[in-house]
Amino acid sequence: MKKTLSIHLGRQLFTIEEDAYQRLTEYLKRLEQSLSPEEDVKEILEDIEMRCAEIFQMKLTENKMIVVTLKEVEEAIVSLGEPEVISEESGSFQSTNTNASSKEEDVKRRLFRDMDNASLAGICAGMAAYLNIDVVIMRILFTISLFMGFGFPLYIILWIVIPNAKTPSDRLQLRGKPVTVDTIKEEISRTAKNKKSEFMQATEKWRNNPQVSERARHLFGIFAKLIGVGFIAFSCIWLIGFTLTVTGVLQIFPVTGDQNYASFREYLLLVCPNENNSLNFMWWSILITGFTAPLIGLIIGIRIFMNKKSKFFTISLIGLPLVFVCGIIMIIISTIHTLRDYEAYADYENKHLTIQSDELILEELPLKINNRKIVNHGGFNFFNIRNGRLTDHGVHIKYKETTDTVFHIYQVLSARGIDLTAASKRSEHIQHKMTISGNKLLIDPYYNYPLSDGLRDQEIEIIIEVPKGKKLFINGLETKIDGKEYGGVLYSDEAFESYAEEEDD
Amino acid sequence: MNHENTQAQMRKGILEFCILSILNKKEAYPSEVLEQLKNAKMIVVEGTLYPLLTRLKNMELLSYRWEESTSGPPRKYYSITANGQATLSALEQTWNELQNAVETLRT
Repeated sequence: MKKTLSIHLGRQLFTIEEDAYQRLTEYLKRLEQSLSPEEDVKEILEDIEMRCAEIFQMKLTENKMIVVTLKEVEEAIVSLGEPEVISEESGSFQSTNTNASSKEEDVKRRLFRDMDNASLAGICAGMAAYLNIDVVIMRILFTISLFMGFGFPLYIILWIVIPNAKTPSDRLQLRGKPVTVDTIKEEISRTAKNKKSEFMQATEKWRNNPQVSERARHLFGIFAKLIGVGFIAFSCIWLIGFTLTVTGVLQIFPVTGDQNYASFREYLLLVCPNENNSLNFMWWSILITGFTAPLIGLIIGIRIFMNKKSKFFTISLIGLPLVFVCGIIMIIISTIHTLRDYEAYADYENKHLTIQSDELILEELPLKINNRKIVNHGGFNFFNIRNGRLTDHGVHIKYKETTDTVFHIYQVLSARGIDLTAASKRSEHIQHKMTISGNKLLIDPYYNYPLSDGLRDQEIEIIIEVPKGKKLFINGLETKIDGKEYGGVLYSDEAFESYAEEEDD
Repeated sequence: MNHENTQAQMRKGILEFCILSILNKKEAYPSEVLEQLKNAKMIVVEGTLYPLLTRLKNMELLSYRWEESTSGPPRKYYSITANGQATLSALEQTWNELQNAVETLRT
């Protein structure tokens, strides 16, 4: 499809396509310029225009067309003849012909920015053409000056100060060629031959819009290119990293025990132990989201960088975000599902001991590794997974007064699940060592539970009821009991601290 | 474009002579003049005719009138004037003299 115009040529009305119109106008202009002004240029031109109109009319009728196209214009020009031929044959040429200076005269050169050969703003190209040296040399010089520090502001200043070579006459002056009808014709056909990609034409039309400043728009174009590159780079990095993490090639999640680092999927297993495909659902939703996001970024980046509109881009820029949103929704769903698995909790009373002494001394169970007693240790930070069991650190100790005359000690195993049954099953699986010898209560600050149960807030609670008047020592310190309930967490590498707990009614 | 081009000079002079000869026989439209030139194997582009016709008209060797046409706008219908005929005779004489001289010199 082409844009058309309405012209009044040789007393007839024609609809003509835009490019044909350009050609025709250019031809008539050249004709006018080449005719000697001593003669009736106006009349001659009129005659020729009328003849041209006749030719058009004939061709349109012959071919049953309604619009004059480039083909008709060019055929008419062939028939009528090029301006040079006409003026020569009819002896009607301009006597003040500047073609006399076809020798290399000192035609005054003017410095312009050459946007046709430009890579950024045409400054290097323009200066190279002006000085008649290679563009590459110019660019090298500029890059060097960039590193020397003054290159960048110099470039900006030159960009603002040096005008752009817009017309063919500008371009001729830049190169020091004389500006005549012939050279202009050459210049026009030369620049028309440079096949401009859609991109150049689009940005050129955009640039030529008088409402926005040309430089601002060009600057924006460069900025957009940079953003596009940024998008592409970032998406690629994300894509590579994500792929490696997800496929388990990259194991960066620190653990201790059987391995030093776990893969992403193994980490996920802790939270979503594989029951009823909940893990797979979560896994796929993460995959979908994680791969779609960089793809979107890549396409946005390429689209901005190349500034090309294409069906592929539009479709994918609608489709991919949709997929991405689906992935997010799936993640939300699986997260909710996982959270439900934390709702119910069951505290399972595993042991109940009574002690009749006057004092109860509570101490850490000494840690034995390979039957050797470790006196002091600490620095336990990450998950410890060994032989399919996860070891955790920190036992809750609660103590309060009782009206009874003997010490009561309860070991409570606590875990969470989607319902009581699930929760209590998990709590049964917890293993914890607690021993009595005399009036000494030895409590292991570590406990473990099966990996396949997942992280479900498994905890140990030791509840000690202290008869009135009797004393309780924890790790060598006497505890204060005055009617309130106290609680604290026993770690192996910290001093035991307890706080009064609020009574909840 | 070269002032010095002998060929162009020769053609230009002769073209004017040809046009006057054609129009001497009968009135004609520019396109008809072109047709006759083509038939006589005198190859010119259409465009050349118009400046020549206009010049000859300005020198009052030709005149034209507007002929209405059924298909389209009116067209110029050229005819030779008395002055034109006189110039033509003079040109014919010059032509004959030239022809004789050149023939003599060539052989």
